[in-house]
Amino acid sequence: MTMPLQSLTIRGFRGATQSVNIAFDDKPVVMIFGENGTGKSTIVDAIDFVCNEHAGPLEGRQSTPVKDFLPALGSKASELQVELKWLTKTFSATLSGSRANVTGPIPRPKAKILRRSQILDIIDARPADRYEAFKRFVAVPNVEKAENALREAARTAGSDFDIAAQNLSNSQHELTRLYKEAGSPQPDLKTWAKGKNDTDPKDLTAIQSGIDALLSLVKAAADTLAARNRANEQAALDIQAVQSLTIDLQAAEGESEEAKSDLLRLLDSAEEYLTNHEDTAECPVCEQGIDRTELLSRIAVRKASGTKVAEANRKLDSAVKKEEKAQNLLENEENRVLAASVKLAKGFRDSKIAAVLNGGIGWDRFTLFLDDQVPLRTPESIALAEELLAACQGIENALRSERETVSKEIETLRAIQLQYGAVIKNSKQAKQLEALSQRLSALLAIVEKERKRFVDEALDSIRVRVDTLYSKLHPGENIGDIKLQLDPNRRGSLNVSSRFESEKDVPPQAYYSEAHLDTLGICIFIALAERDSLDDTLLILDDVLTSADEAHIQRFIAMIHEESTLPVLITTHYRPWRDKYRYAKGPVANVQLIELLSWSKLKGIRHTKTKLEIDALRDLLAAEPIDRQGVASKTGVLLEAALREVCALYRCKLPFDAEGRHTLGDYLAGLDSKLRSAMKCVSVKQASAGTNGSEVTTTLKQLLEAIESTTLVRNLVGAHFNPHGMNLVDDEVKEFAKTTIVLLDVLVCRSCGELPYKRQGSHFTCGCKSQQLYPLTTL
Amino acid sequence: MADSPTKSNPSSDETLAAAITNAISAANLVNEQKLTRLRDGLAKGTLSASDWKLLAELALPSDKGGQLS
Repeated sequence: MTMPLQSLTIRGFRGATQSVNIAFDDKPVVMIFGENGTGKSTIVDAIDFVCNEHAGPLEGRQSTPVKDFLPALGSKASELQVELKWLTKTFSATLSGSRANVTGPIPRPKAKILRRSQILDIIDARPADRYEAFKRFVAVPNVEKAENALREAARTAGSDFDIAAQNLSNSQHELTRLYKEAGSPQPDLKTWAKGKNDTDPKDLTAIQSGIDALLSLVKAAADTLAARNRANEQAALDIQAVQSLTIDLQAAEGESEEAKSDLLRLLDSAEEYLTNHEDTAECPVCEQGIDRTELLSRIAVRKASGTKVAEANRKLDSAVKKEEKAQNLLENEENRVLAASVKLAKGFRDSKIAAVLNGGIGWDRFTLFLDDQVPLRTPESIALAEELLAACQGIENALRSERETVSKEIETLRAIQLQYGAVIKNSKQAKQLEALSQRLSALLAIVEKERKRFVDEALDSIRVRVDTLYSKLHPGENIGDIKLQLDPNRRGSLNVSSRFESEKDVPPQAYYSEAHLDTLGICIFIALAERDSLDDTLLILDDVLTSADEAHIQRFIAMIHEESTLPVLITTHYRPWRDKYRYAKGPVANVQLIELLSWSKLKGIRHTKTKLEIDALRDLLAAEPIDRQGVASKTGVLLEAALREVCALYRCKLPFDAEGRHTLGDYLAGLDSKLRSAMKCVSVKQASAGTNGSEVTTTLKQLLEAIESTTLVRNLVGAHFNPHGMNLVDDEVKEFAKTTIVLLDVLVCRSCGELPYKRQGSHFTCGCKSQQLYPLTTL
Repeated sequence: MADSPTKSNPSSDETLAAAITNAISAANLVNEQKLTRLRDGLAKGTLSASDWKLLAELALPSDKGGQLS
């Protein structure tokens, strides 16, 4: 892994009162060291500004508007600019109002920044707030939405099934009732119901229709006979009227000659002729000449004398016409009676209706009506028709009774068929809904199970990662076993628990020290940052360690270098951390060390490359004229630092000092001759493509003895004013330094720049395992 | 330093949707032709109650005639 951040240029941004540019190597870890007020936070905020469009931790504070705190002292907001080169891409940010205006290709790099002030927030936050940090890994709002829809579908399908089952029960109950009403026929309800359902009701309806037809025939015959009787009565009345008016006419005619009805009719005809022939001059009968006007006058006089006869004659004519009409009507009605009787007789004779068959009508008596021809109208035939109607009417009640029975049978059959159909239909529907409901429930069970498993696994993978990192920092400390659990009773609420001594599942906030909570917060942050990070992400730890003992610093360094999957930028004001690298107690070859110089408004943020102690010594040696005191002093400090580590590895016996202060002599004496004889360093070069692996072994006894013989230089030249020191030549001072450099070159790994410190097999090894120090223990 | 994490990062919804779809497919509860629709609907939250019913119904055996018990 290499550092994708190539350079950072800051102008007019917070502490950058002057433009500052920082170039980064390709080493995966950058450490920016600076005392308070040298610009560390400005650098982190500048990266935050470009990558995340955040204005740093002050963003969101209403009392401090962004446009007021973001520009550098004496700079305008418009002059603010941060430029960041990320691999081959350049991103630039300016301030637009209160927001960052970032230009550059998409996607933009991301910076996961953990600031000192945020560490405890992760641990101390309310479970709901803590969940916010985790929810992007465990929250599945879209799936939950679909799951809720599925739950609703399963619920409504279940309800629909319940309704269908109730409908089925109701129709089965009704069918059973009908079955019992029918006397529970053998063999069973199912056979009976199916038989009824297969029964065609047309036979019953045919009977019903047949009865209806017979009843209609009876009614039609009765109606026609009633009409005939009314016509017959009217005809009798009309005959009587004609007879009476005839007598009246004969009486009127007897009263005068002129009143003879036939003479009056002749006069009427003559008057009509003369009126219609105005030019007539002679009588059309006797052909004698006449005076037409005079003759009409005489006819009128003669007719007036016969008025009574004329009136009687007119009434008689009218009565005769009415009587003729009544006779015609009677004739028609009687013919209709006879026709209806023919239909009635044939209908009843041919009927298979039980009531008719049982009615006992003697058809021999009515053969007159059983021919195809309507019989002649005679008083006998009419009387026989009346007799036939009476016979049929005699079984009319039986017919109506039978019809009612058949109607009930039809009604019952239809009810059975209706309920049977309902049972079949509801059974099918209930089965379908039951199957649907079961399937939806099965789907819901899978969705719920998978969602729970997903969330549990997501949390568990974070937990495992946190635990791995945490156990790296605190091995054998009886803390850890971190657990992350969603609160089952509260939505979006995350609990953290851990082990403390023998107690499990306790809240770490209650028992852990602040330092332990700090490191727990850092581990959680790193685990989360790794989880959602792509290649274009930088992990930034902004001054997260303020105090830690040497062992914890060493482990923290190991964790960063061995566990982090992201490039890391560290800022710190904690000098021991930086010096670990400077004295080769960390894989310094994989770290770019940057040191911030003191800040002033005039000079702004300034930085320099942190020089390793051994490099500083080499520079002193190369300088002319030689700084004797500087070389001797630097060599002494460097040698003490290295020998102290070696003595610590082998637990060498040193004189007791309450404050742990030891001299070069103490350390060299601690490495006794037996150990020195056994000590050797092996530099391992791993085989790679096209090259074979190799090992270079160097024993340390001679080197240590050579150094031991020159340590006097340190005290005489490098530590105190001493007249004897003036007697030492420059070459003696240089020899002390060169021998020390050789020792350090032998001890320190050429690959990672770290002193061996890990136990492995029969030796100690550095972090990259290219350097080995033998033996593992004192002999 | 350890190796880099996986490069492609599907959303949590997409990851879970794929897992659910696989489980449902293994249980043979939805027609194979509808699995893509199921996965997309889960990932985007667009599956309604009626969509679920349709998916389930389409996968049910068709012979479900009624009978008199």
